Amino acid sequence: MLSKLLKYDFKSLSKISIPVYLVSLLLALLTRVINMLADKFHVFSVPSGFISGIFVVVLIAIPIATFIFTILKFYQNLIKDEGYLMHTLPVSKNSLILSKTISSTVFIVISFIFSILFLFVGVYGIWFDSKLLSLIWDLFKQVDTVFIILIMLSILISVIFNQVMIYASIALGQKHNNKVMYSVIYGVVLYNVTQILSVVILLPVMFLDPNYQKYINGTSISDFGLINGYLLFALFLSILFTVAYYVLTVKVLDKKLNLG
Amino acid sequence: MEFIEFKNLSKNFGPKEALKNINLKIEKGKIYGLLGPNGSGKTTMIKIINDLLQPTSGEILINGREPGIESKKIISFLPERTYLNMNMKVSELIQFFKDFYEDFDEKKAIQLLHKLKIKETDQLKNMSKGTKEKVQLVMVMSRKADLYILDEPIGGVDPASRDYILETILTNFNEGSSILISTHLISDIEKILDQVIFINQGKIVLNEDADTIRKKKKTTIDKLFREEFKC
Repeated sequence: MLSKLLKYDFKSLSKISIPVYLVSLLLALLTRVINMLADKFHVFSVPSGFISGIFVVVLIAIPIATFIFTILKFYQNLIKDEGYLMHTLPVSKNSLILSKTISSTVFIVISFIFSILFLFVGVYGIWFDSKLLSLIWDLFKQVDTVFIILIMLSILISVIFNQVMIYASIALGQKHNNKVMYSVIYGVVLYNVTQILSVVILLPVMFLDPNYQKYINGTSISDFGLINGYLLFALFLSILFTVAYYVLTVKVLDKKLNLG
Repeated sequence: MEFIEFKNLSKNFGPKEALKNINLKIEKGKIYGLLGPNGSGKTTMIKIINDLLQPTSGEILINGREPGIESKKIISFLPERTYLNMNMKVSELIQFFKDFYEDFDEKKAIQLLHKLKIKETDQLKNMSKGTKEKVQLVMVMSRKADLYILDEPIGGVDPASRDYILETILTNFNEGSSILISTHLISDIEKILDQVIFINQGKIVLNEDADTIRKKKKTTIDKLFREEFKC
């Protein structure tokens, strides 16, 4: 049943996302054309500045808007009127939440990748200079590979964590009559609980770690091993919180559902 | 043999008691009328059967088990509100029901929709409220379910549409299955009921065979309801 749920969640998210991507691509091309004209004709310098400003705002907004949109879909689909259909389907709550988590994550990551891609289109056009690509590749090669992988994984887990934390807030909030207000309150509470617990767990580890003390004293500054170790630890903590909030969401929607 | 059994079931919303110690059995093969004034607890009972609310105390058993995936396979539920995804076309909605309910009869659904002059290509968001309600009813009645639960199916529609809805219900429900209809518009549905359940202030105040009520009380169920719940 998960595959069927995924089919409908992907379809529902793509109905809004694909037109947004197409419009953003057109804006990127338009920005590139106007900037090229501005290089040759001075009269285009003002429109060029204006459209470049809009373009940058749109690039930043695409992944953020996608994130907000997926949360709104979750709320509309499972807590508002559509919930009467979704919660009476013969599927487990785990499948319902997992489908939402997977589809939302995929769309947020795609939005993020498209934002970067459109930035290149806006600045360099659709034909990239091969020198530019090799320059980027050289930059990557200079940085530790494990570090790059850990950073990428951290971004991915952070996207999933933030979604699931908001799902848990909504699941807890829907138990009350004023569902939106309580969802916001639980969101603030869960965010602060996560922050405090992370610090409480991380601080003693840092104080007891001799390598970290050396790093602080400046004896071993460019140590990727140390940074990667802490990144890995932070990643492990994020996964732990994500799993905890995921289980909480499933349990609350299973045992304490309160559709108004 | 009972199909659904409420055992000492209560439901509170904060300090308010919505259902008080409900004991009730619903059998197969009968049409039940769950009748009561607004706020009497009808929808709360229905939501509990459909696993949309959990009881505060007591239990509900469907085929001997708590509500869950298995009960959702055999119960076809029409809520009192529109639960459709408005971005869908009729054809997508049909596919959705086909994908998730093994007992969904696609041919029957298309046939019923064509009678209403609704095409598969029609967008749900462009339909009137009444048409959306009819589409929803068609979807629910096109399942070969063991129990159809219809919450206020005629509440928001004109008298002509009420006749259509009642006819659709009666001619399309699966033989041997049960129907539980909740409403406060009793005169329109009393002729089709086998069993009448009156609920008031969260308590079952009457649960009797419809013909027995008429014989014993020498009145219609509508009149009896008006007397019972007179303000």
